[in-house]
Amino acid sequence: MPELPELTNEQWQEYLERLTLYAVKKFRYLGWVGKGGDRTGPRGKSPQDVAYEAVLKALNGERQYNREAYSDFGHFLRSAVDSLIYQLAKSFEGKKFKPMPVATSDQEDREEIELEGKEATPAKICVNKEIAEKVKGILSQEVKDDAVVNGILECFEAGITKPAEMAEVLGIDVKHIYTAKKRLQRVIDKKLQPLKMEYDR
Amino acid sequence: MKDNFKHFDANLCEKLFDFIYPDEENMTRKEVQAELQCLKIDMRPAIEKLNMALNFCNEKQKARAKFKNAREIRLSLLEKLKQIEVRNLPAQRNVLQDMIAQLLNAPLKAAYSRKLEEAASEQDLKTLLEDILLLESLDQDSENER
Repeated sequence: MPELPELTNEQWQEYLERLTLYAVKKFRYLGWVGKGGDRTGPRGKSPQDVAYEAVLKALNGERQYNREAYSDFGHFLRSAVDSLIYQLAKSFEGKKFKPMPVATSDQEDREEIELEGKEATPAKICVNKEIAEKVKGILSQEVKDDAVVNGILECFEAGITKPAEMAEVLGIDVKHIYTAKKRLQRVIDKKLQPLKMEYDR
Repeated sequence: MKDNFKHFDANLCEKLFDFIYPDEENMTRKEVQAELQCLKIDMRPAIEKLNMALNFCNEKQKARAKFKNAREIRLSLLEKLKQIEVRNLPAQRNVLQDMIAQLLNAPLKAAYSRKLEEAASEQDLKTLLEDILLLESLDQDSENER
């Protein structure tokens, strides 16, 4: 059995915190936002629950650390979070949930490949199509005439994701990109949360 | 005006989310904690559970190490016992009892006296004598090792 890296309690705690934030992002992708803005997934699982379970699985050997597949222990733990969220999504969303393939080499993930019926690569949590539609609706309503936001989306389509590069392409100061970023975050946080509550019913 | 949202799909939405929400990989621990606080996520219960799990793992590791050590000691004793030869013992009961009495010091004699009395047959006494001789040899070996 491969040994886990020697970590202090403090380092484990840091992993737990980082994984929680990582899980929050994935919860956002799937639109798992509960009542009162709490980010709570199916079966009442919160991002911190999922992060803790991922760490626990590594600690008790239920999910074995493969140094060859993951040179970075953090990436290994993130894959554990992905798997747990995938399982939750599968249990809740069923047919609606369509994972994308990425590389790893774990038994749990191999199961996911079979479910996907694709090449030997496991699942990655992607944005739910329904959520994308809802975000699209929000953008169309709230920032339709926002030239900088439109420019940013054009950059995404062109594969440009760094603010400095966006600013250069759009011929504007980078601070306008950061302001638009904040604007977008505010609008999506405000408008998307009530829409995501449907799963609670 | 050009409609930029026409091509907005799940892939583009993911890029948008990645753009507007921070990636924890590029953040310091303080930034991560600040972001969690901003999201009103209370990490204390999860950290408490984690510490309990870590303590449990540590205890389990210690117990495993103790077990491994005890097992090694037992195997080495068995190995030593295999190497000790017990000489041919006499068959007569009274001779066996005398030999046992000579080998035992006073406190041990008291401990073994019941066993001596209960020993129903020559075979029982032989076995007891063998055990005593083996223990004595082991004691001797330990002293020599020191």
